[in-house]
Parts: sequence; C-alpha cells; structure tokens
Amino acid sequence: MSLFSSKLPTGARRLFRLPLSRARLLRDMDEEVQFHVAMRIAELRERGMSEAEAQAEALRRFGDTDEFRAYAQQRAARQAHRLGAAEWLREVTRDIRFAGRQFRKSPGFTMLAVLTLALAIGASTAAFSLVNGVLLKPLGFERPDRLVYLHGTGPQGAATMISPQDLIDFRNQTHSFASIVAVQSRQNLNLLRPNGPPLRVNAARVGAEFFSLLGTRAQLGRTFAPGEDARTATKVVVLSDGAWRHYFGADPGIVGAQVTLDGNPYVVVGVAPPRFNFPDNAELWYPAVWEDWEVGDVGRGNHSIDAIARLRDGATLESAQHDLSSVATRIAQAFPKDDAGVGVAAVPLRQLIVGEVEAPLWTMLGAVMFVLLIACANVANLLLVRAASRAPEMAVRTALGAGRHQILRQSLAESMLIALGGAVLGMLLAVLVVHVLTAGGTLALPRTQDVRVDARVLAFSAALAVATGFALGLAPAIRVSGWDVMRTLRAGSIRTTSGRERARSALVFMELALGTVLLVGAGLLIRSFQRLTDVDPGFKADHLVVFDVALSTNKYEYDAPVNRFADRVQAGLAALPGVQSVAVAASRPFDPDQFGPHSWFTIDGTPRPAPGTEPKSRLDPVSPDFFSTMGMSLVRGRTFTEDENQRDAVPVVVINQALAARYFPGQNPIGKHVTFGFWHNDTAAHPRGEIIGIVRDAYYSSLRSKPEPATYLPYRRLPLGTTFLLRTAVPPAGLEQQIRRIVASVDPDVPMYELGTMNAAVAESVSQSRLYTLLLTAFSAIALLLATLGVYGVVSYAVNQQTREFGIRIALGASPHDVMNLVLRRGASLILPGLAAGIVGALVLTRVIRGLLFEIEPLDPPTLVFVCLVFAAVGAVASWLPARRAARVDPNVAMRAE
Amino acid sequence: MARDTNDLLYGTLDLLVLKAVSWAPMHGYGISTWIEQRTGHELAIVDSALYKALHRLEDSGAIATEWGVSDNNRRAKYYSLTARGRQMLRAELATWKRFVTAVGNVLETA
Repeated sequence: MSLFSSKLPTGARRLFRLPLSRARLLRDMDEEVQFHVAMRIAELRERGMSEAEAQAEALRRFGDTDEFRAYAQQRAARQAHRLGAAEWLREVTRDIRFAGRQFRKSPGFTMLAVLTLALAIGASTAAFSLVNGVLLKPLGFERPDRLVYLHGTGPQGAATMISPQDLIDFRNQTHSFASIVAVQSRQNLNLLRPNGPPLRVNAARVGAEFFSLLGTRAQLGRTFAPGEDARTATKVVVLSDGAWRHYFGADPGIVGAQVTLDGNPYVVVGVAPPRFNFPDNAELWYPAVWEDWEVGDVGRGNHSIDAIARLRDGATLESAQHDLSSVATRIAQAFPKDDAGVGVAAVPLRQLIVGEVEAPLWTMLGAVMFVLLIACANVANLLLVRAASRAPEMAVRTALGAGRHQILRQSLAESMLIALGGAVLGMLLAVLVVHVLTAGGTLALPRTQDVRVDARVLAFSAALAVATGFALGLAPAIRVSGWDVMRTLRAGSIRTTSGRERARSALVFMELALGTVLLVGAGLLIRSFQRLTDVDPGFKADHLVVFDVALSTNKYEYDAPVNRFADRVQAGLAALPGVQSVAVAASRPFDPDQFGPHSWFTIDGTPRPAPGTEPKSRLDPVSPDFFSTMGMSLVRGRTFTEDENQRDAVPVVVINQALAARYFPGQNPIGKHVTFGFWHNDTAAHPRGEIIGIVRDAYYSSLRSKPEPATYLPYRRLPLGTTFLLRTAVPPAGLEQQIRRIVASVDPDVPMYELGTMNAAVAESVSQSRLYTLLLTAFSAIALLLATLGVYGVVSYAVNQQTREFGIRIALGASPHDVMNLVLRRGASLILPGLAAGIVGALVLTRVIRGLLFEIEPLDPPTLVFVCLVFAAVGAVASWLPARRAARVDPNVAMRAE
Repeated sequence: MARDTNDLLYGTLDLLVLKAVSWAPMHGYGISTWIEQRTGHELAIVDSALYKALHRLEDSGAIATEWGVSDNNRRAKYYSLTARGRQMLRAELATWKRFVTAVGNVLETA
C-alpha cells in the first residue's frame, strides 16, 4: 500500500499532518451530494414514483446543479489553500523548533557557523553602506542626472578653468542648457562674526541662480533671489547647515544677521539644507559679482571659474558638448591671445563628485563578496560534516516517510536560522564599523555625510542572509537525494560517502581560489602603498611644521600689507625656541585646498610659439629661506637673496629640474630670461626674470603624479597667498599655542588653519590609497583565516575517517613518518589546485585594480611568490596538526575501534 | 407548500440547521428530512442551499464533520454541533425569539 494513497484510515491524514488536496476536498463534496440524491430517490420511490420521475424530482429539489458545481470548486480551492498554508506554518514552526534544539546540542558548531557568517555579512554590509552612501544615493539635487559640470580644457586636453566673460558667451550662445551658473570655489576666506574668534571658511562664489538650478531650498530663510549678483544688490550669504550649527550655535534668528566675509559686510539670508556642501565642502555661498577686471575683453584670459548647468529637455550630454565646442571654437578664433586652444568640457555632475572613487568602491564590494562566498563555503563545509554525523537520523526519518522536500525544508530551516543569526550580528558589526569609519569625518571619500546604515543597507544585508541561508540549506540536502537509506542504516556507523567528500574538497578548492585572488590583490595594493610612501618628495618632511592664515583681501589689499603681515609673523616665529628657520610662501606642497597658479611663459631670445602651445609652469612665490626650510637641495646656480626679495629689485627666478629638462634639454638654463603670461590686475607684478638656479623637483599635489615644471620667484614680488613653514628641532605639538599667540598679536582678526606637520600632510595625501589598502588587506586576512580553517577541517576529518587504515599501515610496518607524509601529501593535493586556479583568476581579476596600483604591474612576481609562500605555510600548518595525529595512531586501538 | 429558501428570512436556515444537529450528529439528507418533518412539510429546503449553509457553518467552526456509515450501510458525512455551535445556537435562538415577539406585537396591535 502506498503511503500517499488517498485510502487512509479516517484520521490518519490529520494524525500525520498530511495536507488535504483540492481534488480530495472536491471528491468528498461530490460523494456527499451523490449520497444525498440517492437517498432522496429511494424515498421518492417508496412513495410510489417511477425511477425516472423520482430522479427528475430529486434533481429539482437539489436546485441549480451547475451553480453548485462552480461553488463547490471554488470552495475546495479556497479550503485547500487555507489548510495548506496553516499546515505549512505549523510545519515550519516545528522545523525551526527542531533546528533550535539541534543547535543547543552542538553550541560549538553553531557559534563557529554564526560568527563566520557574521564576520562576512558584517563586512559586506559595511562595504555596501559605503557604496550606497557614496554612489547609489541620489545626489540630493533635483533630477541630478540632468546636471552637468563645465570645465575648461587646455591645448592637450588638460583640465583648466573658464573665464567669466567666456561663460557669459556660453550662456548666450548655446541652446542645450536650461541654465548655466558660474561656480568658483573660494577656499580659505576670512569670516568674522559678531561673537567669537575669526574663522577661515570654505566658501563658494556662485551665480544667483545656483540654488534654483540645483533645485535646493533653504531650511531657514531663503536662497538667492534673481538679480542678487548685480553690483547694486545688497551683499548676501547663505550658510551651510554645518556652518550654521558650528559657527552660529544653530541660532534660529540667524537670518538677517551681519557677518564680515573677506573684509566686506554681508547679510545672512538663509541656511542650506543639511548635507548640502557643493562644491568642495562649501560652508557658505555668496553671489558672484564680477569686478571690472574680471569681465569684458580685458578679462578673457581670466580663467578662474567653473560652471554647472542643467541640460534642456531633449538635450543629451553629447549634443550639449557639441554645442559648447562650437561656441568655444568661435571664441578661440575671436580671442586667440587668451583663448587659443582653450575648449570646454561637460561632464555629468555625478562623475565630478564621485567619479574618482566609483571603480575602487565597487571593487571593494566585489572583494567583500568573495569573503562572503568563502565564509559560505566554510559554513557549508561544517554543515556537510554535521550532515555526515546525522546520516543515521536522516535515514530513520526517510524510512519513516519523510519525503525529500521535508528533509530539505528541515535543512533550510537550520541554515536560515544560522544565516539569520549571522545577519543580526553582522548588522551590529556593520553599524560599529561604519560608525568608526565615518567618525570625525576622517573617511577619505566624497559624500561621507551620506554614509549610514539605512533601510536600504539593512535590506541588502537581509537579502544576503536569505540568499546565504538558502544556498547553505541546499548544500547538504542535495546529497541526501543520492542516499541509499538501507545501506546507511545497515552500516550502523557513520561513513562519509565519497560524493560528500568530493563536495567538501570542491568547497575548499573554491575558498582557496577566491582567497588567493584576494591575497594577490591585497599584496599588490600593499606593495603599491609601500612604493607610494617610499617616494622621496624632494624635500625633508620631518621636523617641518606648516600652517596657513586667511587674510581678508579687503584689509590686506594685495602686496604691501600682506608683506608687512608676513614679515611680522616670520619675525615672531623665528624668535621661538627650537625653531631653526622660517619661510613664507604663496602655496606649499600637499596643501589640500590650494594649488599654485599656472602660467605659460616665453624664453627671451626665442620666438613666441603659437598661442596655446607655449611652455607652461607652476608659479611659486617663496621667501629666500624657503629652500633651506623645506630642505630642498640646489642642483645648480644659487637661490635668491633677501635683497632680491623686493618688488623693485632686479627680477630673478629659480626653476626646478622638471622645467629645465623639458624646456632646456641639453642646455644650461642659468642666465636665460623668462617672461610669464600670468594674468593679474597688477601688471607691474608680471613674473619674469633671469634664471639663477635649479632646485630638485618637489612633489606638490600628490606622490602619484611626477613633479611638473615649476618656477620659484621672490615672495614679495607676488604675495598671492600666505603659508608659513618652520623647521624645528622640537616636537611640533608644543608649538601650536605659541604660533597662535604670534598670529593673534600681529592681527587678532586673522584665523589660522591647517596647522600640522608636513609628514601629516603627505600622509593625508595618500589616505584614500591607505583606505583601499586597509580594506582589501582586512578582507584577505579574513579570507585567509577561513581558508585555513577549511583546509584544516577537511584534512582533519579525512584523518579521522582513515584512522583504521593508518592503523593497518602502521601494523604492516609503515613508519609514523610515512603516515605523516601521506597526510601532508593529501593537504598539498587539496591546496595546490586551489592556489593554481586562484593565481590564474588573480591574473585576470587584478586588472580591475590597475588604477589603484602605483609603479606595480598586476603581474608582480614578488607578490605572486609571497602569496604562494603564504598558502604553502597555511597548508603546512593546516595539515601538519592532523598529520601528527595520524602518525600517532595506535594500531591496536584503531583496529578495535569499530 | 414547498417554499423557496430565497423567501426565508436571512439566518433562518442556519438556525434550523444548528437546531437539527443539536440532538445528534446527522448527515445532510437527514437534516433535510428533519427540517421537513418538523415544519410539517411547510418548508422544503432547496438542497444546494442546505449544503452551502452546512459548509458555511463548518467553516465558521459551529459544526464539525466526520465520515461515518449511514443506516443503509453507505458512507456519509455526519455533522455535529461543536461547543462553539452550541453557543451560537443559544444566541441565535434568543435573537429569534425577540424578533418574533417584536414582529408579533406589531402585527397584533396594528
């Protein structure tokens, strides 16, 4: 009799909780109705009706049979569904209870599995919250996909800036944009409040339509009104949420307050919404009112702004670019002196903000998915071992009538519980990690303020858990189907099937292969990072203290007042104990906020090249002591003297090796005269002069990019900025208070900022590389640990299974050494294929991180050798312990064991 | 006179069925004849409506079903009153009596 036939004794179905099928319910109803009609006919026949009459009357009495049939079908379907759902719920509850009991029986296994998954899910969740916050969340602007960023392009396609007058032409002559607005980052502006010390703020000078173009509304007060960038308008500012909170104590009555920005009075008209800080972490915005010298034909060469624009409906990035380029070509033809070879490029705003970190972040998420896969393989391995030890239980349940899907469901319940536990712990871990990463705003990524464990991150984590639980639940169950129940029951003892062992070896193979890829990736990043930090910056960063001050251009109108201020501060600093030398410069290496100005120049005595193709150089106004303070060595000639550091002195310049090599190849540049095209409203200050010396190249913006041609000129001739440098014999920590006092004694309204050591500034410049290196190293360390456990587990289990075999071998004369070799060989046979596959995979996949590498090729022999050695060590350790156990098998005990 | 169940007041059929099975478990045909006899053949319930009522009451938990064997040795589905059904019967009866009294008062005094 088949177990599932419908001819069960009454109540058996309920007893065994077998669900009622729809067909069965329908059959029941049918049988009942047939009985009813038969009884009715019998009764009518008794009363003397003929068979035909009785039948007709019975049917009439029954009512509308068609309608009833339809009703019965509906009811059966409804009831089957309801019973099924109730039955399912009951069984799932029972499965979960059973799984809970199983876990309580083996807490060690449960903890290991849950913790493994917690680690992997936690790491994945943390990585995803970075991707989500930085890349996936919409930018917080209205229809951000229609926003583009416009920047100038130089003759070789290099990114430059646009001049305000060119922008006016772009606004008037292009047709692809609903609106174009100027944006000029003004880092380091001086801000004075009614109460509190002077501040240095990151400001942005923007067109009046800036906020309306982005679709951003003020959280307090208003943003700019149209026409507020006119010269006659009252000067107004909008504060960022952060500036409002930190500098004005979140004063709800801030609207209407007066502040002094860069020496000029402004009225606060509103506060931008939280987390709005475009561009460049701006803390406040003020309308761009163009000065006479900035616009008109005189200002054509004033390439000093960028722009944002909103594409008109129907315009694409390509059509807009085409539109812009044709206008740019017309401008370049009309004004070759200033705009020859100058173009303009439109890039999606999103790309500007996150483009640089997009690929690395996705790579990190991919890497952490590898970790998750490895963790899953590890837990699957544990489950397989457990499934082997529970084989008799499963066999008994199968024999008692548990179908394949019942066993599958039980197995799924167990793995889902594990995954759920892992996910809950993992989410807590992720919250912790994200908190640590984002605390203090030190995370070297854009949009850090948007990185949070939010609903989408939790949903991602939950989805991972469900997928993991599902995959793990299927793993052992698939083997179940191939079981010979009778053999397992007869055998009486637990014996792994070779199929199961193959499955476990395959999992370890996968773990090793993925782990190898991660380790190769981490190795490459570590080596890159080493090379990067080993780069000699061209100056001595140790014992070098730097700080900047923000002078308001109103009070410190260019030239004389700035020089006076710088002189007095330098004098004060030089008198400090332990300070060996002091210098002032317009800009310094590794200043995150500043770039020195760049300009084309001509070499006197050579014909001027065609516009746009002249030699170019960075311009660095520095005081004479700059070179000795920085520790930059002189290659040739001399540096300038204090007498030459005067506006009316004979002009001289010092160049770096890069400039000499590029523009004076094979010549001696000393004694040559250069004249710069540098654009400034102070025409007397146009940099020019005789080259008197060549200094070593110094890295300025990043250790990754080779030093560019640079020209140093006496500071007092062109004091465009104020950065002070001190070489000290004492630790810099004690200096801060004294420096602050000196600056305040010269002018209490001048804020100082970025005080720190040059070492810290250099380290800051590689913080993004450090972040990626740390992440990938952490991931590969987890992977390595898990892979080691995986190898150990498989080899160790195999040794246990073969105890008897080893006993026989030893009894037959094999030495412990032979047995050990056997096990070690087994370990090696497990590791080598995984390692080989991993190396091949790494060769393909490390191309993804090519952009993150520095002077290392993805195919880096030392890294590959290192990874192979690491895995050899891992394999040795993971199989040596079981091997030693195997060698100590006592043949007598082993033979008796069964 | 056989009357269509459509003419029956809403809920009357359920009440009659509950009353029928309150004595002993009965199959559907038995309930049908019981109602017919007790009403002196005044009410002949349309069979399909009776079964719908039985299913309705079963779904609401007022009556339970079990397969049994009829007097003539055929397999039949027997309906019996559950504790919940008994409660329901009591409540419905009270309501019915109030209803009859109220309608009766109206009709007699009018």
